[in-house]
Amino acid sequence: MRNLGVVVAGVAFCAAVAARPAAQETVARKTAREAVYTDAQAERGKKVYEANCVTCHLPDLDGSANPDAGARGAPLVGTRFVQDFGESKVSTLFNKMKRDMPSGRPGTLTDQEYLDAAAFVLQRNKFPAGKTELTEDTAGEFWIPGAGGAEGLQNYTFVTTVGCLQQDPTRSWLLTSAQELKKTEPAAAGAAPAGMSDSTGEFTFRLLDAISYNPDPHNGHKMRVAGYMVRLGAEIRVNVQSLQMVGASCGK
Amino acid sequence: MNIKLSRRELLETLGGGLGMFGLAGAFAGLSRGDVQAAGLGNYAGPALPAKAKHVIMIYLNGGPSQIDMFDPKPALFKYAGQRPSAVDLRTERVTAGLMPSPFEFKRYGRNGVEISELLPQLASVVDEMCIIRSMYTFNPTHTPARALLHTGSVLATRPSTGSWITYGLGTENQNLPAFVALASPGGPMTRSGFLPSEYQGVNFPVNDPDPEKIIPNLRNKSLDANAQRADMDALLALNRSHTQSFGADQFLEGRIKSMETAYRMQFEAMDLFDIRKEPQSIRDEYGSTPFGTGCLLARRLVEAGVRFVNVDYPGGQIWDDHRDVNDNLRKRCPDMDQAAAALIRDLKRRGKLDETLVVWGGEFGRTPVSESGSGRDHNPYGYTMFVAGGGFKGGIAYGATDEFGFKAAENRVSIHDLHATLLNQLGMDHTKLTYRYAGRDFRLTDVFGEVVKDILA
Repeated sequence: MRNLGVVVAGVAFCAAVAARPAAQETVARKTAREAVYTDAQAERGKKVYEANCVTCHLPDLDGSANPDAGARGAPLVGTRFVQDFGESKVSTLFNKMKRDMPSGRPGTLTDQEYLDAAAFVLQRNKFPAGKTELTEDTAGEFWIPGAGGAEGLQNYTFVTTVGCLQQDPTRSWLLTSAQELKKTEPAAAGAAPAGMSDSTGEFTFRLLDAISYNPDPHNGHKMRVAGYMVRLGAEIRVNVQSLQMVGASCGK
Repeated sequence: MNIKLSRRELLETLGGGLGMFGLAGAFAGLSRGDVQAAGLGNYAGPALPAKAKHVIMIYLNGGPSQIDMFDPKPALFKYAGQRPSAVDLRTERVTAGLMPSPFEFKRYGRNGVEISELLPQLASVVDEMCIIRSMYTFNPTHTPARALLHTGSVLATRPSTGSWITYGLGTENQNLPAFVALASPGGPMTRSGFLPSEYQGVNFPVNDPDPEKIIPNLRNKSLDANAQRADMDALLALNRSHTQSFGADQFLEGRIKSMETAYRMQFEAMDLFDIRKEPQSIRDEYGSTPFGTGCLLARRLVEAGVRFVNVDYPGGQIWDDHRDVNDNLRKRCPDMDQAAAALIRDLKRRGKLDETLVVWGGEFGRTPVSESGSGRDHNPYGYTMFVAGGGFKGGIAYGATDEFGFKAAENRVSIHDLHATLLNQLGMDHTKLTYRYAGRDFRLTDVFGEVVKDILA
């Protein structure tokens, strides 16, 4: 009878797994915000970078994003870094460096030098330093978050944020200077969630279906947006369910 | 060779079975009246007012995802991961809950038709497009559904739409095949079935824009034109002798006509198939991809009088996105979007869009429910196709699927309805374009099909 119970429980578990929406994620990730390198390691990495990388990626790591420099290396900071390495493990960055870099002589540095250089890149992307150095093992455990602080949230989670509503040249509606996404209840959409400020932040989200909420009069306003978070590669978007004006201007 | 024939005599000779050789260029640019006077078309029904002369069928093999391209469904977010009873339709494979599209839809054109960010170029020509969001078909499996789209039947023996149309209307240029397929794997896309084999689609690859690669061995490098002339005359004499001895044979006749066409193609096709002769700006507009080559070539072919051109997006059943649909569409849509939009824009600029039907679509669409966590299954219940030009209304989205984009719900349009409407625009009553075979008359639309008048200008 006990065995039968195990079988029934197993079947129930399998059924539950099968019924669970396959597109959703449920496991919270450990991210590089949890201090995965040390200041000393980043300092060593800076020297590695200056000796091997700076020609293509430039001193500020902005590479080809700097229109005046004519550099050919991909930017290693900012939006492009999030696009290239967000929603992937730190080991992806390490492996990419080890496999392809330095340009023209890939794989010629030691593993420790590659790890140190990766630590430097993390530092320049404002991930905090801690007391433990980045190793190949920890690089495989921690993720580089995508935009918006959405790590740990399941796809299609209902969220709320505040930012500046803007339309880009392609007529897409964006929420710029937005604060991190906060998980909220759909029933409370439109109201200010408890404990949530109206301050802005550093993220940009593309808004889906904003056109259904008459956004034109609010172009340039500070808005509270509630809706469903959706991942597209490393990018985080929000399908709008509520659009409320917080302020007629969009100062921080 | 000095031929003294009136135009009438010449055309009558051309229509009289075993055609004449050595008349390169003489048959190019025939008007529809000339073609009908010469009896080159077989349509015997009432002559409806024809808006279109040519068809370009852009085929996306595998079933492109209408949910991510043309049919926005915001309600999917509210029910993400769930399976409401309204959408609990049987799918071909194991599927899970509803999966919203992550792509942005914006309004375009004079009527504000919503199109996805995946298709910015097509969105820019939406005022020429009649987007039918309520298509449905009868089979969820590729092979029969593909046959249904291209032949009007799930059976693997029926003639393709291109064969029916060229059978009905004939060709405007005897130096070229009337029905051309580009990058097609053949089968229902080109099959003439029980129709005479001269109506079969002639397939050309488009991976390389070099015409020597598109039509290898067309130029006879060993014999000059006079020597070939002598060869062909000798062959013609043998064939005539065979026919006198054994009677007419439609398969031999078709074969002979194909050889005649191939012979005549030598004098026109190599130039025509050389898209490198187009201005660089035009080539750039279409894009330097095989599909761009196909679309640009299609425009050149219909301008030269080819009746029906099927352009496959190269790569086989590549739009069959059972997994990773978002990533796949982001990789695949840009060149498709660029070339398809360039074709419509270019035809419009040249004044040819009014007389050319550009049809876009796959054998079915894709489900709003997920498969494999990141893909979509086949959806025959409701999907999108579009038609541009040829007297179809532009700038409209016709029909609608249900709240979740699973099933055609308003103003449903079947494949047979679409075929009937295409034939109508070509001046043919779909119930009168028939061919007697095995003791009964056959139609492209079988016993189905209604002309969808609401989408005609």
